[in-house]
Amino acid sequence: MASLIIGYPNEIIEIAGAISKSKDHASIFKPYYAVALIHEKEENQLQEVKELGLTKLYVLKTTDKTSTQQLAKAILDVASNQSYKYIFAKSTKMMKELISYVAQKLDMPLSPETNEIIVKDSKPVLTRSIMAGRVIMYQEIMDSAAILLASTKSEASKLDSVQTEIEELDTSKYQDGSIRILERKEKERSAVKLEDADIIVSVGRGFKSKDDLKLAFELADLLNAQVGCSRPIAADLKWLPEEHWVGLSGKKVRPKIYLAIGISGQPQHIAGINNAKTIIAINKDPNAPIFKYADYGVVADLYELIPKLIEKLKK
Amino acid sequence: MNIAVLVKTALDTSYLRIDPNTNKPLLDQIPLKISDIDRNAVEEAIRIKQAGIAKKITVFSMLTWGPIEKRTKEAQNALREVLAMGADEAYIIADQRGIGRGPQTTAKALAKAIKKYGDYKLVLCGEATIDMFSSEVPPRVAAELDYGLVTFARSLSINGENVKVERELDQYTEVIEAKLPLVISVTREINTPRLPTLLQIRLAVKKPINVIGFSDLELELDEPKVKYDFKGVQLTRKNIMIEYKSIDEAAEKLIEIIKKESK
Repeated sequence: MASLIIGYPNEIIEIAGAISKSKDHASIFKPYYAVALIHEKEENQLQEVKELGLTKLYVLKTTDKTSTQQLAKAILDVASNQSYKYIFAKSTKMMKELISYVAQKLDMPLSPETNEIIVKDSKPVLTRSIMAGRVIMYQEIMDSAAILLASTKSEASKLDSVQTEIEELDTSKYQDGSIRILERKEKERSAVKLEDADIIVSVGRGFKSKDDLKLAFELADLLNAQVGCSRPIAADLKWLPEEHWVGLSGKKVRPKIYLAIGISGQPQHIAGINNAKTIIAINKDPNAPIFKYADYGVVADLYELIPKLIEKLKK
Repeated sequence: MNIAVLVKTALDTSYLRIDPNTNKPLLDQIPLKISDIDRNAVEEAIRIKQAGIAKKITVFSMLTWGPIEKRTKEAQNALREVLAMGADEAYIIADQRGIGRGPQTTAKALAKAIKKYGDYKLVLCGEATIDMFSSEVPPRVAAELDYGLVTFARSLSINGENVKVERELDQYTEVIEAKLPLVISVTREINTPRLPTLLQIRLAVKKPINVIGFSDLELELDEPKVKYDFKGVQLTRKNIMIEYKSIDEAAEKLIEIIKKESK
């Protein structure tokens, strides 16, 4: 039995931390191998990865033109040298594409957004949240599996005590003419860290223009809060960068207070806020689904209520 | 060119109920509906057909939730909607052995059906389904068919054998040029799905919906690779509505609550 960890160096370190949180991990997952993706523009950050106790580390240099199909070929090549029972990666969009493809070729099941690895009768049981956070699914793995891990806070941790052998792979031989990347653009970033916020003021389609969001930012300032948003604000209208997006495909948050303003409460949004301690909703529509998921609800026009809140908080 | 669209009849989670005694979700009782994002895939296929690039649109749908007889009827009803939108025919893969087997088996069955019932160079589907949200099936189908793969597309245009796709990952956006045959998963942003007219709904009754099983696909299954179990998460929200006479009072009450709850 062996496990293969796939990812950028920081991802491999995070995965090692998450695996070692599970007691008995060594008995079912050891020995550990890894494929490190290194972008040509990045500094070599392999030092920490080399200290994790991996048996072997494959280094795969990538560029802005490297397609996931190309990476899939390289990984399938690595997996043909030796059979791996378990593949680990982070649950990002890119890895969902890459590892699902690889898993089908290797005839393996896959668990995306895995929250927890439980070891039961020397078999891993993987948990993840489905149906907009209302149901926890337990997956008892009978033989082998690809495991995509949800984001966790974990410290770097040594997996094993062996010396790491390193092999560089020649990426060019996996080039695939059928898919060409013409352009790659980094997304606009903002410094917001919603995962760590105590209070989140979150905005939805109830706001009529981008300019009006400054009401929410002013309120957030007074409450020492961060600003979040629902899918349309980030994905359709692009009024805010995606770091603000809360929900199933955005950030999953756990603040003390989540103040949802003008958010209707689609299941995909609720899935991102289930772990909030207190949910407060402000919406004009008394039938908005958000009220079902809220601790406190106020039926009010945000254009009247928010300025009033700001005025009172300033005093 | 013909287009295959993968459409899931997913559990409508807004009807989810949890048995208070066993804490299990009552999955068999939740109604099915067309998974929202798959509607965008159907819409995109119709637009390609209307542009004269595609001839036929076939919908493939695999049942993953039981009980199989009830679900087959529900799926037949639900798929009328995408036929009314403009798809030409539909195949439902309904087989007891496909229930609770996971995306690996779903992808095998869908790929076999796509190969058997026509000649499809383009396979479209939603980026994820609303009940499971795993995003696994599109890459798995591409692997089974040995087609090229582009996921999370927010726009696409076809020019001969080439498809130009703009797509969105976590860190960056990409513009990709890919050669057919392809599997492409789309996001909600790609279009706004049309609502069929009454006339279209009536005419759709005549469009064929074929129900097939694993034996039609010559799909052999080995031992299950995963055992699934489900537990409900009880919602324990207070659901207090704040009553007020003036907006002034509403703001004051809200500030009190924020002060109390942020401790």
